[in-house]
Amino acid sequence: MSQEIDRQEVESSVDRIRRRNELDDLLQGESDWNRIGGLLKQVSELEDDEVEDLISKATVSQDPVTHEEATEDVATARRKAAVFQDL
Amino acid sequence: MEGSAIAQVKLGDRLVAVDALYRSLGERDSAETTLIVAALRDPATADDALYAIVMCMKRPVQGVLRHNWLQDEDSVNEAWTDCLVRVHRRISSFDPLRSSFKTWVFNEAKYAALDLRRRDAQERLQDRATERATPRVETWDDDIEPLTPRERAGLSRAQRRLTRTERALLDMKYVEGMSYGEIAEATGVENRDTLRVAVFRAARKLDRMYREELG
Repeated sequence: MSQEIDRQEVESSVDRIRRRNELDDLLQGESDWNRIGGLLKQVSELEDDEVEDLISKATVSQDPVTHEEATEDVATARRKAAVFQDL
Repeated sequence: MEGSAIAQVKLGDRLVAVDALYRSLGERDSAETTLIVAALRDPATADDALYAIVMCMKRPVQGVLRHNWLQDEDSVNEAWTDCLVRVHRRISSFDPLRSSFKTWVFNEAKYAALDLRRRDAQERLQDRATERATPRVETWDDDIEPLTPRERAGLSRAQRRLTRTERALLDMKYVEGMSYGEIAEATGVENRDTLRVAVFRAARKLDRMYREELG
């Protein structure tokens, strides 16, 4: 994800709402807008073709996973989940 | 790598070749998907299913985590373990109409990585005592009412109507789950009220455009 933003765009937008009352209104209403976060999370979900694209760009080890490694991974997940009583 | 390489894994009462399983889990509604979902839901066979997922998906998932979201190997390993926990805990959220099982696992891995990054960033901020209060750690465990394909397309179109800066701010705040302190650090805009207002305005604009797109 690019974290480059236009600082002038961000800061000038506030220049236009210098009145403190307006800022307070915005902050009070902020929690109402968190619902947009739930929507954005959904459209950020990877699609089938995006996953293939990500795999093609990544460096994927060709070492086969061994029985010992897989067994240890499952045991580690169980130990971790036990803390939260999930598994 | 030393140790015994395994060519087949057990799923229910079947033995499935690891390579074939990986391919099948990338297809919608494959027989292997049905088997692995059923196995994950059954406490008696959940470990077999997790074992099968490790055997066929660990390397590609870790490669993608390393390439996109996590830099150090400890974090990649931790996110992979978290991914397995999530896969077991959230199997009821898997919807074969929305994605293949393989894609669903990759999404769980992505969310595990983002949650890990979020936790690490918050710990760093707390260590430096730069936040007045501990923010709630939002996770990707929240079950959200799924968007319909029409709503999803409308939201994507609305997103494209935002400026690059607005999209980046909303992504940082809501998708990456960054605090305003973290966003300030990442963007160089130090005034958090400025950021709050900019994020709020972007969210309000997106909401308005989303409604327009849906007509």
